[in-house]
Amino acid sequence: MAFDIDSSAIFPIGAATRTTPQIAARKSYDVVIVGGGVSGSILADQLSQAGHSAVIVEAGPGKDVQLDEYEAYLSRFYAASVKDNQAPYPFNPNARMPRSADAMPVTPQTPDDQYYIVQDGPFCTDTTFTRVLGGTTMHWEGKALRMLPEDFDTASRFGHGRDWPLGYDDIEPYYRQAEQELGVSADVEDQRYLGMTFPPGYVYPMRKMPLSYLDQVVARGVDGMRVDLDGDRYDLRIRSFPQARNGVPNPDYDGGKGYQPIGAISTYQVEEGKRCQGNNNCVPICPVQAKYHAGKTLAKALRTGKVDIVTQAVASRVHVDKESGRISGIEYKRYQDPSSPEHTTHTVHGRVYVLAANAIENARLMLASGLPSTSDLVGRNLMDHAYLLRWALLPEIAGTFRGTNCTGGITELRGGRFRERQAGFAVDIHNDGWGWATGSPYSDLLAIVDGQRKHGRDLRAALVSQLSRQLLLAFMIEVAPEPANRVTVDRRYRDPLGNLKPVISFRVPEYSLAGASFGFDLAGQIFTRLGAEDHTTYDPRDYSYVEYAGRGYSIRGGNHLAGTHVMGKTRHDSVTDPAQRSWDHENLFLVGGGSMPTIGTSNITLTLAALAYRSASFIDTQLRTEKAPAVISAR
Amino acid sequence: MSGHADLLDRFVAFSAEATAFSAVDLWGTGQAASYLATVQEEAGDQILRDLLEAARPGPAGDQVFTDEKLGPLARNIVKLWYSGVWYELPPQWAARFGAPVKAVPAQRRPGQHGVAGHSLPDSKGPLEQQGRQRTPARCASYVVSAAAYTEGLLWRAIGAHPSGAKAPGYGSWAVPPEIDGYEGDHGKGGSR
Amino acid sequence: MTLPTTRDIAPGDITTIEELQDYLYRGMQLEHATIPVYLTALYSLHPETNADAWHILRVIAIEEMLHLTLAANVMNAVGGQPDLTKKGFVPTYPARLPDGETDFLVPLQPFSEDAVHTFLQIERPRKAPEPGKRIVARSRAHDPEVLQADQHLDHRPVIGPLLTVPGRPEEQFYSIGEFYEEIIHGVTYLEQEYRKQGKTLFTGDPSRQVTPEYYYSGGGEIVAVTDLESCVKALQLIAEQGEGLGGGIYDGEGELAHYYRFQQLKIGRFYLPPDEPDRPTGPPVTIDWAAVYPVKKNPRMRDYPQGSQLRAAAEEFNKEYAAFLGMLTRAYTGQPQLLLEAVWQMFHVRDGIVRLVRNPLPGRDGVNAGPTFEVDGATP
Repeated sequence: MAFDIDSSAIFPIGAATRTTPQIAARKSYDVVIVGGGVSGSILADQLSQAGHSAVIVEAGPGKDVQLDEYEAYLSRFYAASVKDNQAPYPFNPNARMPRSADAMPVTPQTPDDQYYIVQDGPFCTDTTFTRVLGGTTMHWEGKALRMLPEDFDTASRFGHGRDWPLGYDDIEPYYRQAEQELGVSADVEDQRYLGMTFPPGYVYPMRKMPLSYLDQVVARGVDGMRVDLDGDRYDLRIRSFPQARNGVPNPDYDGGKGYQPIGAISTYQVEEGKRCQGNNNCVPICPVQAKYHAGKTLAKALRTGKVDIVTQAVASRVHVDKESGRISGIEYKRYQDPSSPEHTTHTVHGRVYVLAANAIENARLMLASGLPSTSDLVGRNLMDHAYLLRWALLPEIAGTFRGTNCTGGITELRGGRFRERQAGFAVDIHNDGWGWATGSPYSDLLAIVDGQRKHGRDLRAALVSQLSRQLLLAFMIEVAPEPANRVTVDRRYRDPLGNLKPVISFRVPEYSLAGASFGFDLAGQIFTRLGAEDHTTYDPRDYSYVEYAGRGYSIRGGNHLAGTHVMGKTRHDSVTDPAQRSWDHENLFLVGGGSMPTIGTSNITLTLAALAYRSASFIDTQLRTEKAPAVISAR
Repeated sequence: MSGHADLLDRFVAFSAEATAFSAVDLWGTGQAASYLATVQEEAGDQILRDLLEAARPGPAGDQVFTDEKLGPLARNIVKLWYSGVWYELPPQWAARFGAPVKAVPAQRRPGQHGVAGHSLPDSKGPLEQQGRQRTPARCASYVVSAAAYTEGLLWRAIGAHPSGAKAPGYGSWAVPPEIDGYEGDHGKGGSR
Repeated sequence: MTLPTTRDIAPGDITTIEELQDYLYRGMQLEHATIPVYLTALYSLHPETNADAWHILRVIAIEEMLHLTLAANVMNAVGGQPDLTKKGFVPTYPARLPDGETDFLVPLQPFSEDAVHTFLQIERPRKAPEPGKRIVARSRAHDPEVLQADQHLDHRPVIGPLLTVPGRPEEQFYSIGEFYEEIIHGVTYLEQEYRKQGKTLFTGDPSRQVTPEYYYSGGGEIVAVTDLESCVKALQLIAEQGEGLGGGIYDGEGELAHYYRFQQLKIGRFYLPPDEPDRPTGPPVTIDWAAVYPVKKNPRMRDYPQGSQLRAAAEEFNKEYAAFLGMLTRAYTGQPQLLLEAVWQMFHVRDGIVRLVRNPLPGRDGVNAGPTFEVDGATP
């Protein structure tokens, strides 16, 4: 009988290891893709489905996406004494990952070379990205907000940022495609605000995640709260966030066909993760793979049989044909063993090349390759959301530390006329308490046991009182592009393979700090309404401490890296065209957050996934044209 | 062997008093033997026996938690059960009361401030190596084992679960927490 | 598989709706009976070890829940009343299942090679040698182990062996597969007879059906039962998921059948499509037989000293489990949305078992406690 198996969760056994550099070098691929993260996986999937051959060059370890590997990540996380967002992923000096704990006060001009990112200041970012198969979607939280229509032309509207060469309506169909692939849980009724539109009858693949009890407690104080700002009136309410995590499938999806969630990926049938279990561990790893990660798309791409992948292969140089400006190959360094810098150097060739690493790595590779840039914008306009945290104790038990990391928050202040003066923001209610700000719950345990000398029942009562009432509001603040915020390379700073490391110069724009300042006060008002006791303190010695208008704040990174190869209308003021094709190299596509001219107040993954779907159709067309037999013109 | 079994029983009995979780709950974590071994290795056998002796039931037993000599060890055992982490004993204490002293790399404290996510305020050492525990040059504070983390009582005490383990089920976060034996101002507490 | 035909079919053993409902109750009892067995083995595994065994057991336990729910849907569709709280619904372990003319014992026990042998016996495809042999006389004399177990039991099982023929305790079904064949035949026959009178067998309230919105599992979709076609589909899914479809290793939904999932533990290798029975070609399955808590086989309340904390914990577990069955019963009788909460309760059950199996049994050197699943009388 036919095996009509829904094998969408099956990773082809051996697919990550069977293509040797020698095999890859002998072939000429239709597409060469650098990076096996969300953009690279979507392009590999789309283009291979369209009949093109592809090879993915991946810097991370060379293992199949298989359950035991995944669970080894989980065990590593359990056993790690620092449970940051890279804790599950093995230390690999050859494709080293930035870690938030690497952040430190920066002395400009004499940056510290001991970590992967070299920070040249003046601000020190604690931003990170993950260099394993699946990329940063392995550790991402899974929020899948669309950008607002007004986010696409902030320069014209508000005099800040840059205009996109595209509008919301151009991207909307691709948002739907991305929402399908990422498996987004949300209700359209909740998301129709600030001008966001959906075609008639559209529903998200799965129903919205229920708000946490903590959200509901906060909502009692926030719902109906009125904010007047620059002539606009906002009635705040706690709203659920769209999340790329498996919830209850909506039977009305796709014209009544419904939706089949994709769970855990492995080389054999696993049957796990088709619904979120509330592990409260989206970052840094969902134990059951109910959260989307790019391995799900990659597995699908590899099953077409038209996609090869070379792992442990760190792209080191983009070769360009000087006359035509076309890319002629990607050179990479292949290491056998993560703990040894020994490597061999190889090149892969194709018709079209796609850099799909991330905004920092794409720029680093371009700059390290010395590629010319007409606009001089490669590496510039680096963006990441600025996070301001403010935390308090609620007057009642709110059941903190349960749920997904974040289920609800405030989204009304993402947009409006005030953006002429200050950045917009979205506010997250953190179901994981003060962890991000203070190291809770461990710090509280120590304070109660060692500080207050409590044990037994007193200890238990004190823990409930101290932990179950925690409220942390995280303001995800828009950061507008500034050319001086940039990634560069410097021949003095190299990784163990000899690749140039990214050097980052960054400051938090005043525009964002104005938003932070407003957010700080808003949080204070919310705490007052809730009767919550403020516990926020910012340490002036903190690496991320910044002063603005007479007050100091700690600003955290959001790992939403963007802007380093912005798209635009002309080759003089942008790096790529609206299809994410390099203006300077017609067979090179730079995809991902780097192409985004602004990031608004949306976590970037959904938008960059939508852009990847959009680019796939352009690349397909370009490949078909290039592959078509030449027509001799009579002219 | 029966001597060891007896010591294990006494260790669990003391721990039950110290944590306000029943002996059945403590055995139920599967960590009793591993924690006893950790304490013996880190603090020494004699001082543990002194602690168990001094902590014999009764109000006087409570004084061990504030005792200059036995207090840090007693409190460490509480923290161990609650978090699965063995915390480094204070160096002054170690020097004075004879616990083995380990070479600790002079490193900044990554968990102290600014580490995204949950972190241990006292963890030291090269960050990247902390995923591997129990290596000879291990950092002074460490997670005893992957399973130990998932059995931390801290989360049970607040009606939650360690993040990433013992999932409670889809949507369970939308209802008030059920907190065992909590007599606080919530009124919901009660026991299940 | 018997499929509905257009030709008139002859009556089988089921000739009235009451008989059908009696069969379906036994079906639910049977589907449930394996859950405590699989859960005990599953949670006897040491944490952070035996991941392969853990996942195989986990999926099967969840799919038994699916089967239970499918059987409840069929029961509801024909106007019956699923009740998991009836005295005797949960068997006394070791339970007994038919293997042809003899029984075999199904104990509560920790994960082991013996346990895997039993699981294979439970799920093994077994067709009656000839059509007339679906129902056989029970001749337990063939199985000394069972006889011995009967002698040594100082209690009489609350119910007889699973899958005796309703009303005829001396006869039993040849196998689980044959039992479901009989039910499929029965519903097909009854619907045919009802239709002759211009009526239908499927008069149950459709709002009592559990739909995919409320039930999810790793494998297999819940089928809402509203007519003969969906009814047969639901029953076939139950039967196939255990044994495979038409001699293959997968069921109609592409799910690896339970027998073959367990066989992976015995052979030490995963199946991959399109493997043939007994010849898996996937990655190796690794098992550490020693990384298992030494749970007492068939633990009973009397194993726990009166007044001990451990006894209280075992009792608390039985109450939790009774509450779980109560919640399922409410979900199956008009409140399907309660199945979402039943999952939370299931996770409590997990925590309860895990706690027990790590507790040493006082005075029984090297033997640990375990859940007894003695729910009758354990009022939640």
